[in-house]
Amino acid sequence: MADLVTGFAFIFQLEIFVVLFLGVCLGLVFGLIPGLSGLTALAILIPFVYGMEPALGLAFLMSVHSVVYTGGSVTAILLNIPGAPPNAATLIDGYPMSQKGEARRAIAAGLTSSGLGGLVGGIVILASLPLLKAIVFAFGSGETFLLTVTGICFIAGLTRGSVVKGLMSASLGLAAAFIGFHPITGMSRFTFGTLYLYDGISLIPKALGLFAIPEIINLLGKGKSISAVKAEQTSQLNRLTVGIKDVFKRWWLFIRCSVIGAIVGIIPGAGGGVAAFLAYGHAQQSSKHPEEFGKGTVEGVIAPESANNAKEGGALMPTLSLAIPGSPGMALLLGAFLVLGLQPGPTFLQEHMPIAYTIVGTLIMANLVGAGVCLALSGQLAKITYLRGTLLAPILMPIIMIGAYAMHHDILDVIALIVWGAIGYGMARFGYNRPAMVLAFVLGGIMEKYFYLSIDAYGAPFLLRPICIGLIVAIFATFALGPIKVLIRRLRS
Amino acid sequence: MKASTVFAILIGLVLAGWLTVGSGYPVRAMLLPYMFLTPVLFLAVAQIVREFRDKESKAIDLGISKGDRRNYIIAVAFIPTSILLTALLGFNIAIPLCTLAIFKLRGEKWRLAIVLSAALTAFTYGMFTLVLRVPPHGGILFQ
Repeated sequence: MADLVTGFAFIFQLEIFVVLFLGVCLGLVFGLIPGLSGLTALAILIPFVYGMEPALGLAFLMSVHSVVYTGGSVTAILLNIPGAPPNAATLIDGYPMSQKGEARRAIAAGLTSSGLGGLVGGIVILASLPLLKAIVFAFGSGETFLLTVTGICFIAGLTRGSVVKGLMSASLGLAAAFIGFHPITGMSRFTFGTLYLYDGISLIPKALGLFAIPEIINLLGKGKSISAVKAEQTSQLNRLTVGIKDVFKRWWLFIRCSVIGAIVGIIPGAGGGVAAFLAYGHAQQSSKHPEEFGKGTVEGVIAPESANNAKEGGALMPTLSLAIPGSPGMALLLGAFLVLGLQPGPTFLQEHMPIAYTIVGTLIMANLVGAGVCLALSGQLAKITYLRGTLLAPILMPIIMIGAYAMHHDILDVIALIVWGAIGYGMARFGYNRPAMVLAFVLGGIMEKYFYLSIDAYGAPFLLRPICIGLIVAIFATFALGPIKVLIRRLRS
Repeated sequence: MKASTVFAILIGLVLAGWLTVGSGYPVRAMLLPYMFLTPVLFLAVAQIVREFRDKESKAIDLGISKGDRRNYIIAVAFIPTSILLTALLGFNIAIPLCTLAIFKLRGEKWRLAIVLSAALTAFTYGMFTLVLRVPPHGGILFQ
C-alpha cells in the first residue's frame, strides 16, 4: 500500500506532470497524422530519454504511447482513416456518424470511453497483479494462435450482407501477410523475385491505401463535405455532452469491453487489433439492435475505444513483471527500460514496485489528459467534416503520401498506395470488408508464428486444451449464431 | 459483365494464383496458406457463381450523378498522377505543383489555391523534414 501511495504521489510532481502533458500532446499529434503510428513515435523519442531519471523518462514515453490510439480514433471517426490498425474497428460506426452530422457526438463518446477505458484497464491490472502469472501462462502458443483466428473470424463474420465477402476480405489480408520470408523455413514466399517484397508488405501504405485513397476519390469526386448535414442544421444529438452521456448510459457495455481489452492486452502477442475487434463483435452480438451496427450506432464506437486503451494497461503488466512484451509498442518500451537502466522481469516488481505504480498511474493519467485535450478541441476538429471535399482532399493527399514514406524512407511505399488504393476502392464499392483485411494482415504473421510453435511443441492435440476448445466453439458460434437466430425467428413466426 | 462480378473473379484469381505458386514451396512453408486460403477459394467460387446469377448490380450506390462523372475521372486520375510525379520530382516540387493543379481543376480561386498550396508545402516540410527528420525523397529525375 505504501508503494502504491509513493508511486501515485510521484505523478503529481510538477516535472512529471509537465513531461506527461508534453508526451500527451506529442502522442496526439502522432495519432492525428495518418501514417505516423505509435511505434514511429516511440522509435523517434526513445533516444531523447537517454540519461533521464527512470520514472521521468518512462512517464514521458508511456504518455506518448498511451494516447496515440486516442488521436487515431479521431481521424477514424472524422476522415475514415484509421490512425492505427486497432482504430479500424472505430471507423465502422464512427464515420457513418460523421456522415450523419454527429461527428462531435461520436468523438465525445469515443474519447470518453477511450480515456475511461485506460482507467479501467489500469484498475483491472492493479487488481489482477496476484493472478497475472497464471493468466499469462494459461495462454500458451496454441491459445494465442486460436485467439488471433477468433479475432479475424469475429470481424469477417460482422460483414454486412455477406459473410462470404467478409471471409474473402480476410483471406486477401492473409494472402498479403504470407508475402516475404517465412519465419520457420527462411524461404521467401510470393515475392516473385522483387526485392521490395522480401521483408513483406508494409502495413502503413496498405492501411492508408485501403482507407484513405477511396475517401479522397469520393471527396474530390463529389466535392461535398463529409457530413451530409450542414453545420447550422446539426441536430441536438451532435453535442459533446450527448456523446459523454452515451458512455455513462451504456456503462455495462463500456465495462465489459474495457475488461475484454485489458485481458487481451495481457496475452503476449495478441495485439490491440484483436482487442478492439473482439469488443466490437461482442457489442454487436449482445446488442438488442445488431442490425444498426455499421450504420452509425454509438455503441459501435464505445466498444472498440474502451478496449483499445484498456488493452495498453494489460499489455504493460507482462512487460514489467515477466519481460514479455504484450504488444509491438511494449517491445519498444522494453528497450527503453534498458536504456534507462532498468531490468524488467520477475524481480522488477520486488525491487521497483513504486516505479511500476508510477507507470500504471501515468498510463491512467495520460489517457484521461489525452481524452480531455481532445474533448476540448473536439468542436474545432469536428469542423473538418463540414469542409468542402475539394478543399480537404488535396490537403490530405500529400500528408498521406509522406505518411506512407516516413516509416522506411522508401518511395516504393508511396507507389504501393496506388495498388492498395485501387483494391480499397473496389472493396468499398462492392461491399467487401476492409477492416477484416487489415486485421488479417496484421495478425497473419503472429498467427503463423504461434501455429508452428504449437505444432512443434505439442502436435495437433494442442487444439484439445480447454481454452482452445472454448475459442473453437466461439469461432463456430460467430458464423452459426446468425443463421440459428434467423431459423428461430422463422419457427416462431 | 457486372463490375462486382469482375472484382469477385479477381479476388478468386489472386487466391488461386497464391495456391498455385505456393504448390512449388515446401509443405511446411505452405501449411497455413493451404489451411486458410483453400476453403475460402471455394467460397470465392460460390460468390462468383452467385454474382453471375444475380442480374442486378450489387455495387453500393455512391451517389455519383452524371454531373459528377467528370469530377470522379479527375479524382481517380489525380491519385496516380500525384504519386508518380512525387516519385519523379520529389516531395518538395510535386506537393505544391499537384496541390495547386487539383485546386484549380476543381474550380477553386487562384488566391485560395496558392495560399493553401504554400501553407501545405510549408507544413509538410516543417513537420516531416525539420521536426521528424524524415529525409525527403528528392525525385528519381534528380538522383
